[in-house]
Amino acid sequence: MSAATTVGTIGRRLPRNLVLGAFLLAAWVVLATCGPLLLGSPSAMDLLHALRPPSLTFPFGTDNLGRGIFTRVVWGAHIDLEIGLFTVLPAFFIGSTLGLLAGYFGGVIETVVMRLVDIAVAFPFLVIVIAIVAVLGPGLGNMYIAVAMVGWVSYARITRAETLLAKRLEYAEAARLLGLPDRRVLLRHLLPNVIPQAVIYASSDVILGIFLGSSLGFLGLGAQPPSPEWGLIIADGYSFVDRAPWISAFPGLAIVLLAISFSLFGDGLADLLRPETRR
Amino acid sequence: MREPVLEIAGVSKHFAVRRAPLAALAGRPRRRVQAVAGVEFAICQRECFGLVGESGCGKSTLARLALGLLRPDVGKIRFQGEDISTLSGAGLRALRRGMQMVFQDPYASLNPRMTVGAAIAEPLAWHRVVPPAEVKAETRRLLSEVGLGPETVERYPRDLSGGQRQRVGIARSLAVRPALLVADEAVSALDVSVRAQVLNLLGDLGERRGLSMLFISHDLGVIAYLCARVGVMYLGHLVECGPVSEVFRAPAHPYTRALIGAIPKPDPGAPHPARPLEGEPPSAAAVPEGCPFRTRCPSAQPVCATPPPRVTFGAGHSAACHFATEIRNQGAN
Amino acid sequence: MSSRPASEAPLLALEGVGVTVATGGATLVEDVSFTLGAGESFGIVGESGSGKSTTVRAIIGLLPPSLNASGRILFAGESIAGAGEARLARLRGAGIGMVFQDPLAALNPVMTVGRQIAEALRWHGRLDPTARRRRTTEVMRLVGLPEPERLAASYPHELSGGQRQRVALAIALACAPRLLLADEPTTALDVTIQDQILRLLDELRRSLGMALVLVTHDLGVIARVCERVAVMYGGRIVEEAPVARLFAAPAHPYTRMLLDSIPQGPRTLHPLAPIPGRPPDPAHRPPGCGFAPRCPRASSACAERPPPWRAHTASGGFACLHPLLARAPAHA
Repeated sequence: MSAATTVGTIGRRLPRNLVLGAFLLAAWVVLATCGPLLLGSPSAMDLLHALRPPSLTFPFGTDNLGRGIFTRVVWGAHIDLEIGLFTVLPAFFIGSTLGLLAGYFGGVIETVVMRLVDIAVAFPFLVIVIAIVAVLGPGLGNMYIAVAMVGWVSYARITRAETLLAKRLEYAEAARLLGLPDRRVLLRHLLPNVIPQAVIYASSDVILGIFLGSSLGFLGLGAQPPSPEWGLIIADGYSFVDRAPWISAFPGLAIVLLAISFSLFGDGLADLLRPETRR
Repeated sequence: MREPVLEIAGVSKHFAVRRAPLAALAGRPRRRVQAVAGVEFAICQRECFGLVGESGCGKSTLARLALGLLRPDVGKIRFQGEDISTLSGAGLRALRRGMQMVFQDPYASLNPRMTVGAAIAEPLAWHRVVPPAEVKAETRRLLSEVGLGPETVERYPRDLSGGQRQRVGIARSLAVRPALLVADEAVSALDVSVRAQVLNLLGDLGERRGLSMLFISHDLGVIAYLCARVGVMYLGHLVECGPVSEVFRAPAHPYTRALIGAIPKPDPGAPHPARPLEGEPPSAAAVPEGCPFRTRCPSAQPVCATPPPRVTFGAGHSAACHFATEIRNQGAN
Repeated sequence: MSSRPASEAPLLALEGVGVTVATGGATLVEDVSFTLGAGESFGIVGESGSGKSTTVRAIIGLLPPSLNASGRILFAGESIAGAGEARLARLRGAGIGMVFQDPLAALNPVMTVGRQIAEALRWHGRLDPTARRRRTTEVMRLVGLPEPERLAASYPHELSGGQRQRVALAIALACAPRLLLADEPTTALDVTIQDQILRLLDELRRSLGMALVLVTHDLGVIARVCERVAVMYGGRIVEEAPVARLFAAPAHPYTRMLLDSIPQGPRTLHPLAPIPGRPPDPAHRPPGCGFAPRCPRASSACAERPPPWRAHTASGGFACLHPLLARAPAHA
């Protein structure tokens, strides 16, 4: 089969929003990696052209220090992409592992994990994260730690529920009956069938992570100036919103577009992974 | 008789039912579900033994006890002479190679994310049944033995029909070259025409490989087709046991008679038994004292409140009933 | 198709009924026609994918929106094919009752069974609450449920499978329908309970003068309960006959092979010769007879176009170019 036919066949079998979402995300990655190479520094100031509306030289306008918003937004892309991933990945791995073990072995492991979940869930997520960041000090690194410490609970719950269901299915029983040890049953048989739900959840969690990062940036607890993180840019533009709305508008738009890309991808992933046709 | 492959000796198993916390506080005793009670039978080499009963009779629990997935509370289970509860490590692994199961649901018994080839190769490789270089060839050989072509190796379960999936499940169990195959309602979920195919397959495999089989089903017709001997279960008790032809010709337990009579025969002219079995089976958490069948038995007498004796007739035919001899003499169906 | 005195209009008549999938055009049911008189019991037997359940759901308009039905369906002389929801809703329960395979799925888990039976009455009748309660108890007794007053306050999960199916029957019968459609009503039940329910269906049919269409894959059930039977394969009716004749002398090779697939004794004495191959995929039906690829009597003509329906001398008929008849009937 030629390459074109292969792509065509795959494209026909994959859900449309998955393909579109993947394409958009790929575009974002390209933008985030290559964009900065083509543009000047995000901190380059040009006070003569402060607070200018969008024009040919400054497609998104300038802020109060004359910095081009377009340049800043493009430079900030990789930061917000990283925020999305690094808020989700540690929580995903920790939570899924604990959930899988809790669901499969039950007993003490399950009790301990689920009680931890209960404790973490008792507090509002944002409040805890802010509190931890306040203790550790502002900055993206500490934000990642804070999110990992509380964000894992959703993944634990999801994977535990899926594991409880899956381990009763006959193929899991068959695997044990064939004499395979627990670790093999867990990794080879249960995990691939249990993880899709967590992955689908993660794809929408990324969006929340981006919002969280931007919100903390806005509050001064996340990325620190002069970082071109989108939330920070929005914060900077807050005092000028009547005179120069473009400062906050464009990074805000960028957040929305990135969120839509992840959302499409997540929906498509859900369509692809969920209906494992039975008959 | 040569040493039996599988011996179930006086096995009982109960499950505790979870109490509501209030009931526990009130000191009410925990309810027990007696899933299996005092079952005793043996399966010889190359023999197909059928286990028949309706839902709640304990046959699936018995299958899991036989395979060592559950521990009996009372009694012993011996596989090839060894008590399986004492096995561990290498002994347990040998047990897993010796006994395998074919499941009822062809759709849930295969890992949806594993290809057919991978599913069959896994036990082959894990137990080193053949050297690694021969795993692929052995996989294809097993597939052809169950009537599937080599192209099936790359397929996923979702691309196969129910009958094909069931064959894959059988091939997977055969990979470890077991001595005993436990089939738990292995054909119940299949269409009539496919069922016949799989039944013939199981029969052929049994002969060709010298397999013993514990064939569990609620369908007496299917058991009569494949099995040499049959055990009838009701509420955890083995109420009758013996050669299939004998049990069908002259059942010695009222439940067996009712069961045989209740099967709708594909013959419009066949007479219907005068008295159908009334009522519902009692809950397994409240098995009647004495004979468990006495609440529905048309021949029940006051003496049935005491545990029935096991009456043995010739040719290994036995029944647990106070009136076994009379029931048997009432003759053929 | 079946000979019937012209004066007696059939209670239910299907003419050329077909069901296709809206997107893609796969054919689930094709050219199904049969008639049913008042009080008759008619069985439809077939394996999965034969279209038997789909046909019955089409009668009562219970097909999912992704399926399109065509053809004529007449109930008591009136066309109900493609009838509006309101009309169908009036018909369901009052004129036509339906019982499904899984009683647990058919009953509302959060409503007591008594209320569910009463709901059927409320929707269709003009009875006041006291009369409804009385009728509920009455119909529960009719289906053999013990202690109706007490049982009416139970929830479905508190009942056994057999009891639930009786409740489902009670709901279907509450308004004394003239026709009962039963789709695999006993498949999920134990054999002894199945026997009870089949006897019940038989009794009710006789005492209420109710017609019955019973869909099943179990030929034994057909033999037990039905007077006439249609065999479906690949979305079409391949044979229709009075029950005695179907079992004794089937005309269509599929019927014969289906009968031969039922275990009749030990393997050594009565080996089964199973039908090779698999039923056709609805999306890719062969142009000719659906059974031709698997039929030992097939000829090249069989694959060209679907065989025409040939009426049998007595009643019923078959669709086969090479039937198993001692003497082929004169061409229609």
